[in-house]
Order: sequence, then C-alpha cells, then structure tokens
Amino acid sequence: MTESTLFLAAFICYGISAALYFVFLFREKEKWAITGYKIIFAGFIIHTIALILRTVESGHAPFTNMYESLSFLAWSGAFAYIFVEGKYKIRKAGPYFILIIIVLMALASSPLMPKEAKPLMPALQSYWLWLHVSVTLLGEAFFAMAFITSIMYLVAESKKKTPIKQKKTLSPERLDYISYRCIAVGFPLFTLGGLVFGMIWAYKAWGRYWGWDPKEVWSLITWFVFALYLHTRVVMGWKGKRSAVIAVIGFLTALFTYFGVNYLLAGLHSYL
Amino acid sequence: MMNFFSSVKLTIFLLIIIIIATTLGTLIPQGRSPEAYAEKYGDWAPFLMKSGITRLYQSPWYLTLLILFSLNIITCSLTRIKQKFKRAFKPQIITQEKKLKALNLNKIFKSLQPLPQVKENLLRELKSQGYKIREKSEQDQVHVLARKRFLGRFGSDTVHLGILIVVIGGFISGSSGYRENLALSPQETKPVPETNFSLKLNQFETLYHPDGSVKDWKSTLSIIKNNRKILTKTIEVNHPLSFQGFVFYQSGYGWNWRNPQVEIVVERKSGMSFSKPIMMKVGEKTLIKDENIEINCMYFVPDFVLTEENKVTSRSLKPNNPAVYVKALEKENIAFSGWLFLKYPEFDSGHSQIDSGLSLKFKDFKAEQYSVIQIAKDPGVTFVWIGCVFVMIGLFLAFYFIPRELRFMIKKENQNTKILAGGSALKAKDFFKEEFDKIIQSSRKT
Repeated sequence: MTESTLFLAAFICYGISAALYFVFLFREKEKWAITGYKIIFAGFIIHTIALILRTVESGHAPFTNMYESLSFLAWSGAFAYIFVEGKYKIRKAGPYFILIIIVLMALASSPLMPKEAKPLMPALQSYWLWLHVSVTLLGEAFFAMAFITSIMYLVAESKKKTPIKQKKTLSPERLDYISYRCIAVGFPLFTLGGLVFGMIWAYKAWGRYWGWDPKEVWSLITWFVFALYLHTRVVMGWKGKRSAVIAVIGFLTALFTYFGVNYLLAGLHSYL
Repeated sequence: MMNFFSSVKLTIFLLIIIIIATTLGTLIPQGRSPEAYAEKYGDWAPFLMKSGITRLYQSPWYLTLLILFSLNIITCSLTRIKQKFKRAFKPQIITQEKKLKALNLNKIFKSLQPLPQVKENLLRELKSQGYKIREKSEQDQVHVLARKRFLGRFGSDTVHLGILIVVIGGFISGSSGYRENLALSPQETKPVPETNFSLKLNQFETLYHPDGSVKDWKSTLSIIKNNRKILTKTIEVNHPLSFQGFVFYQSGYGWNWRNPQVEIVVERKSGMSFSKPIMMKVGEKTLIKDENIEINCMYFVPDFVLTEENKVTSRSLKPNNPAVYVKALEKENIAFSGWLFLKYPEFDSGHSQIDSGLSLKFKDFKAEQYSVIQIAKDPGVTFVWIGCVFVMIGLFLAFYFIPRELRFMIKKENQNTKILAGGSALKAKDFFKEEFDKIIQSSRKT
C-alpha cells in the first residue's frame, strides 16, 4: 500500500460518508447518519496511516508543500468533525462539513499541487514545523466547524420567520452554542500554534519573533476577529445572528491567512 | 475619562479599527522605495508616504491605536479587578431568598431530616464533587457557599495581562532592538558593533541534499574577547548561538569572487594526443612547457551577461553562469582568446576570433565562500515569551476552568428542613446544570 493509494481510499471514504449523511438529511433516519459516522471514522484512520507513511518516506513532517498541507487540513477537519459529533451529536451539520473536507481533498489531489516530497530547505528543518503547523491547522479545522454551524444558524434563523416546521434535533440556539464551543477550542489552539509557536520558530530561524510578514499579519487579523467575537459575545451579550456573522468572517479570514496570502501577497512564507 | 477608557464599546470600536488598519498594511506593499510607490500609485504616492501607510506598522498613528488599545485593556481590567478579588477572597456568604431565586439555576425542596443531618449530607456531596465550602450560621438557618475553580474568574485578566506584557516587549524590541549582518570569510575576525568582543569564523560549510539543493549551512564561530577565545559553537539555520544578550544567526552566504581558482582543460583538436587539465587562479599565467603553450586567465564573472552596450558584466553574485576570459599563446602567437563558459562548453570556439588547433574547456572553479551572520540583540523578547505564557494560561482558565458557584440556605421548618439551592455559571451552563441536578438529587436521597 502506497501513500497515494491510502490517500485515495480515505478520499473515497469521506465521499461515501458525505453521501450517507445527505441521505440522512432527506430521509431523516438515524441509521444513515450512524453509518456515515462510522465511514468517516474509517476514512480518518486510513488517512492517518497515509500521513504516517508520507512522514516515514519523506523523513519530515507531512506539511511542507500545498498538497501535504491541504491533506493535513482535511485530516484535521475529519478529526474535528468526529470530535464535535461525538460530543454534541450535530448530525445535521455532517453533510456540509464533510463537503469541506472533500473540497480540501480534491484540491490536494488536483494536478496543480506538486505532490513529490522535496528535500527541506534549511529554515524548515526544525521540530517547530511539527508544532507550529499541526496545532494551527487543527485550530483552523475547529474554526471551519464553527463556520458551518454558524451558517446553519443563519439559515435556520431566516427560515424561522416563514412557517416551516422546525427540526427538533438541532435548534438554532444549539447551533449558536456549538459554534461558540468550537471557537472555544479553535481559538486557544490557533493562538498557541499560529501565533506563539510561530513567533518562537521565527525567532529561532530568522532572528526576530515578529516581522510584519503578510502571513504573520493575517494570522494577527484572524486572531483579532475572533477576539472581537468573544468580546461581543461574552461581555456585551451578543448572541445569535451577529455572533454567527462574526464567526463566518473569522473563518473566511483564517482561510485567507491559510490560502490567499500564499497566492496574493508575497512574503517569507511563500514556500507555504 | 475613566468611564470612556473602561468601556467595552471602546474595545469593540478599537478592535474593528485595528483590524481595518492592519489589513490596509497588507494591501499596500510596505517599506518600498519612493520610486516604486510613484510608479504604482502615481499621484497618490506622496499622500501614502506622508500618511505613514507605506510604513504602517511603525507609523505614529498605528502605534497610537495600539497604545489606546492597551490603555483600554488596563482600565477595563483595573475597574473590574477589585470587585473580582473581593468576590474571590472575601465572598458574601449570607444571602437572601430573593437573590437565590434570581440565580439562573435554582430549586427548593424539603427534607424530613433535622437540619444538622441535612447539612452534613449536603456538604459531603459537595466535597465529593470538589467544591470548597464556606458556611455561616444564623439563628435557625445555615448559609452555604460552595465554589470550585474560582481561578477561572481571572482567565480573561490573565490573558489581558499577557497581551500587555507582549505589547511592552514589542515596544522594547522596536525601540532598542538591534540587528546587523556581518559577512565573514573563514579565519576572519570582525568586531561586533557596540560590544567589546569580536566574532571569528573558524569554518564554514554548505551541506547539500542529494538533488543538489542546499540542506544547511554550518558556521563554526568563536567569541574573542581580549585576544582570548571565550567560547566556540557551530551554528546552523534554526540553531543560533546566544552570548550576553546577543544572538548570532546563520543568515546567508556568498562567494568571494576576488580571485577564484579555475580548472581549464587544454586539448588539441586533432585527435586525443594531448589533453591537460590545469588549475590556476584568475590573473595568473601558466606555461605548459612541453607544448610551449602559455595560458593567461584574465577575468572571471560568476553570472555572465552582456549589457545593451555589448559589455560583459555579472548579473548577480551567484554562480549562475560562471565564465572566464582566457588567452592562450602557442609559440608566442595568439592561439585562443575569448570567454569560456562552465555550463556551455560548446560555446567557446565561436567566440575565439582565431582558428587554431587548440580547444579549451572551463571545467570547474573554486571560490571561497563567506558566511553571513546576523547579529541581533532584542531585549524585548523575554517579555514577549512571558506574555505568551500568560496569554495561554489565561485562555485555558477562561475556557476550560469555568468557575462554579452554588449557594444554599438550609432552614429549620418545624420538625423538617427546607433547602433553597441556587447556582450561577458564566459559560458552559449545560454541564453546570447537570452537576447541579446531580447534587440536588443525591442530597435529597439521603
């Protein structure tokens, strides 16, 4: 079994899982979602093995080019979903969230992404690569989770006015609460991985902990947006719609930090 | 004034302004030359430069925003901290029925057991759940305050304190930090500016991956003070050397092109009867005695390029296209004169105006590499790390060490006992409610 076969197998699992969850969404029978959950779990295990193989083969952490990093982000997403679903039973969010994982996997396997493991440039040869990237991407996966539940909240709220029968299992209040809990996981992880570990590594590799590099600046902006989310919510008591909108903006900022900065703004992080 | 600075509305306003300003700095390239701005933005360029947008993160108004934000954090925390301390260390134990009922969780129930028995059971249950208990008796009733994880109340304050320390560290770095590049050839010693010691490069090597890309650079450095070696360490990327607040980083490398050594192979075109590699330095002459050939290596460029005026120059200091200008004399007649290219060995003959029986090839070169060491002194960095620790501890406390507070009034009512229970939690109400119900349940059972 090679890494690419396992990657494909995981991809297929995620696809089947999403399909089952969509069936669940329309048929409203629990068993579809339960099978979907089992299959995404299987995909996650296979994906884990693929990442381990990649690490063993290349001899370095599996996030040094866009293919590896997208694959790892998809893996983090699967982890976040399994974790949040296990804890809060948010089956209705499943199909949408797994769709994000599938998009990430599809991007990773697109021919535009260089796949071959190249030897690492000097600055990347550090255990901080592990700590910095893995913790940051895990945090971002939880932001993605909050993004989905916030969007679902906004949709549910807009439907509330028209007399469509409310689904009992996932009330808007619960969606709002789950968004908050996801950010409560994502925010500390992002702070630790993205900002703190990033600063420590930058200090070790480049001799300064902060240099206003576009990637650094956008991480800070992301952090500020989620700080805004927390302050408006916890101190000013904003909930529901406005909170959900900030969570959505926050995720889009995180997405731009991860993806957009590399392609649109030049900087030291240009290798990834 | 205090009210203005301590309002959360100001925090929200400042956060939004800072987000917008910070974004602006990534949309407009920072720290370029005036010409570059003039070319890109035309008439707007002078405005952009004067307003500080082109050096946004160092501009007075951005720093003012950060200072305002810090003041806001300080006043917000100070106005609330006194109350918080009082609540944490000198809490009100006695409470009123009305207040208890106003808490978001509450319950009233009766027990047939006498008061001391009820109290004992309740306290046992609370203790088993990890609550710390304070109680006060009043005539026929007992007030109980049970709390756990009260440190969690200070989570946000710890985060804010951490942010302030990081900002202070940032200002210290920005105002008194110092950074300089020092280029050192092997065996060279240079004084470190603003200190009484020098830096010596003993050895420098570049390591390559099998595919030819650079794996690492290693510089063996010595700190020299009063002509004595104080310490020696080999540094590489990600592994700097620290000494008395100065940190020495492997920052780059380059080649010393003053007189590289080149290897040239001289051959006769007719057959393989003669082929001789010669090693020589640029600017030297070498005589091949047996054949009476004199090779004169005149110039070297690392990155050969022709200018528009047809002049030879080097595009960069990297050996992207190394070339040597060589003159060969055979029996005092010019047999070859022209550029030889390392990467294009077939290109030479076309450039030689003289057609002779000699063929020359540029095979290899050796130039001394120098190491670029970045010297940095950053007294703010310690503050930043301490601040980060505070931020992380604070975030953990704020999100995962949620304070729980339960209040009970146990009243004697004839032979029975009446219990009023109430609790409040800021976050994670669900978990708290579960725990609350559990405590109520089990204290009712007994």
